[in-house]
Amino acid sequence: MAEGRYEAPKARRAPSRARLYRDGKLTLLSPYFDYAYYAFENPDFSASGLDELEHFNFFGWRKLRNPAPWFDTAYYLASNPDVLAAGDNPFWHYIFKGRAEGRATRRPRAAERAILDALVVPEARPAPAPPDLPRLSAEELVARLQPRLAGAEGLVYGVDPEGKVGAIPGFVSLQTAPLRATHTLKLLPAAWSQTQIALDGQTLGVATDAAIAEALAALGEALPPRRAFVVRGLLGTSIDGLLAVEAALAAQRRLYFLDDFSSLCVSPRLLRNDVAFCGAPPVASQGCALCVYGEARRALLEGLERLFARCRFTVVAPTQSALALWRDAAALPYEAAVVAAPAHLEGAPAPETEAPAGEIGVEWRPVRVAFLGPPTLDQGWPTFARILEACGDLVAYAFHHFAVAENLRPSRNLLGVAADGPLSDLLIAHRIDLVVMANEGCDAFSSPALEALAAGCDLITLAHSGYPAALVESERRGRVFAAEDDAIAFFTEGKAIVYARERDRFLRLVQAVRGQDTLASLLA
Amino acid sequence: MAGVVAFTSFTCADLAPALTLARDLERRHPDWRRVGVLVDHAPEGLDDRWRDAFDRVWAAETLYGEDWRRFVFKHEAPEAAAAVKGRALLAVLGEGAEKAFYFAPDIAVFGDLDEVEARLDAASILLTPHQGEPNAGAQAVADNEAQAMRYGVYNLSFLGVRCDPTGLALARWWADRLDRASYDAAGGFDDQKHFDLVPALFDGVEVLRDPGCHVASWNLSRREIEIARDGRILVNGRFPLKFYNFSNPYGDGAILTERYAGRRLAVYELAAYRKCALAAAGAPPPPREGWAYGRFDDGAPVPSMARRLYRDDPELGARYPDPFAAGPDTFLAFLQTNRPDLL
Repeated sequence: MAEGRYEAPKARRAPSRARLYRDGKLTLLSPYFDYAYYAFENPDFSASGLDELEHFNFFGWRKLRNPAPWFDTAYYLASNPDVLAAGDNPFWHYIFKGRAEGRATRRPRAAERAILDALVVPEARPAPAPPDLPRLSAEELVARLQPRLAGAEGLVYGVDPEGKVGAIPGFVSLQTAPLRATHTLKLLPAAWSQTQIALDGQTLGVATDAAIAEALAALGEALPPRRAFVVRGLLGTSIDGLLAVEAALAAQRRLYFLDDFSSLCVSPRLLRNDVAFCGAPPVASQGCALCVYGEARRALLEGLERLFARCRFTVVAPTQSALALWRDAAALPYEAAVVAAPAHLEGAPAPETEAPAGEIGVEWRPVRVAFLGPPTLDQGWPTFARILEACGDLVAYAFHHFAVAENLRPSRNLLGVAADGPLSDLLIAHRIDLVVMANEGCDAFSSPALEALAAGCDLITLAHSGYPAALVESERRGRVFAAEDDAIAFFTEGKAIVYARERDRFLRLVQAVRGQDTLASLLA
Repeated sequence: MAGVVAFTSFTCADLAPALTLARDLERRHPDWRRVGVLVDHAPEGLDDRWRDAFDRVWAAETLYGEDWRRFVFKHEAPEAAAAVKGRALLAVLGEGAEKAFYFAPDIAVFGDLDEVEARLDAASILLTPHQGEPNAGAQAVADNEAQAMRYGVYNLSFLGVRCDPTGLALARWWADRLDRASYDAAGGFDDQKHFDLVPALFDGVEVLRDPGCHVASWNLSRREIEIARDGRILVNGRFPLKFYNFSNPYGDGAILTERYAGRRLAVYELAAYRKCALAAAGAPPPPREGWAYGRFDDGAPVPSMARRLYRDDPELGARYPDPFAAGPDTFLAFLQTNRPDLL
């Protein structure tokens, strides 16, 4: 799509949002104060009988509450001893003095540093309590499985913490997951590693991997002739346990699904220290030494080498780009690799006919920009927040946040939309033009990205986002930026407006997202 | 003790960073010998396994003999940890080290130091400057260059010395200067300022201007750190990070780091790593009673002003060779009689 002419948008919303106060100082401060944000973050203000700004002015800042998401009262006071000593309202000081002096309103990279401050090695992170399930011996397992296996054509043994292995025509499905989900491999022998088992979706109970292997070996000839060993997630499992089961199963098909990148690192979205995409560098690198996942990754890779050397998997990737990333970083032996998308767009593509560009990027028809999902760093919220901060007052844009109600964070210039229905429908209803998916973590697949395209939106994303970037490249629907600052400049410099006008010249038909069971089609 | 020796000096309060440094060095250069100089007394009952991080641990008093208590009384704990560096270097070279490196416990080693060590094949003395290139802008000049002019051109948290006549001469000169004064003069140590003279006083001095060496809050204005996709930590786009000084992480260091690292995330990742590494060092908490030389023999704390009085008046030193002693005819008794205001 042509870049076109652009100029940075300048028109800002009229200061009509300023409230009038008897205290003129508050009236002056009012246009800068974020009433929606303050009310959401400080629900106790209403009991005071004051409005949000009055509450902040008289009480809030002294309790280190923030007047806007971009202003950290505690930081401003701590980093400006003169303001602290003067006893002034720090927000007032910033707006009418500190801003011109170039004083910072919050610590640089505040969101990332809050995560860094709380980093804990994955081994020390709490795991959810394991479900209370009956314990099964090898004999009991044989007794439960034998009747179902009689006459069956095939058996799928799925190592599948997220329950993605569903019913497959002609196959009995044995889904397993570690009893206790953890962020690392379990360095346990097969006799100690405990696994939840479900048979065709019905939970059977818990057995050790050694007992499962013993049961499969005992079933011997009773096992169906077609057998598949399918791995869709490794974290929490024991490699020794999996190897014991695989040996007993003697499967003809062994499939490893790249649903995420947990076969490269225990950080499945390849987030070094939970703050930066790393690309899975060599485990002996300085980056891994610096990372909270480095040690656990070393153990993971040792286990993976043993598993892949033995199983010679067919690796199944959702996209070519996910496979390319994995091939570059993994250095694991495999039998074959296939690309099979779990879902795709269906419906008429946009026709090639051009229409005159609509008037977009003006007060009565702003460029509608959305963020989807929880406001977290790995989803790219800090980038969206920076765009909002830089452009929220511009009439050329209207910003939206679609998320489940508890994840909405009201603030001025941001319309929160509770995602209580199909995402595509909501995006269509709000006529969203652009969805910002600047996720820091790398997604092998992303359903919201596909749904956004289906709803006629284009994606604004970063090169390391994985699936969103691959989707933009393949569908030519959006922009991929190498760095966060480039994505922000796309909005601040008005290029997003030109882009939205250009895309408006092409009629976009709403498409549908069609899922497909890649496992079933691979086993067919 | 042939070959390369890396040594550091520390009090019990700095045991965690000292152990972290020793393990960094062991991981990167297992062939180097590691010497720790303890300027303190390990508390009774302290598990001694921390000593395993070093090949040798020397008690600082063994470097001084009878003069030790008189000497150490003149110093606060950080001053004393710095003051012993010269004599420790002499001892390291005296025991046969071919090359000696001093690292302060604040330093974390992130990369291979072979290239640094090789510099001592040609040079006798290796120094790292606070500033390796000119700063731009009034604020950066004031924050960095002006401070370097005040506290010394070179940062003595790192020093490399070859055991040759020049290196030995430097070690003797340094030990002598430190014996005379190693005091914290408003944030800067006297010995560091002395080192401004070194390129003029000695031959064979090399100023190590590799931007990957001795990165710290005071030179972040000219050193951009990033973590490349191949996992290397790079400074200014192409120089591998070798070692980083985490000095003063909560005071001026934090202010300068924020001011000059700005949004460069890698710097904050380094700081987070440092925090985790210190927590994982397995060092016992600092002794509750504080530094071993922080109290008179009767348990009363030694006030800073009493130390100053003692070091500024040579007669007091001659009259009270053990200034920590309590009882009649001691420095403490002198203070109680003549300068109770200091107690």
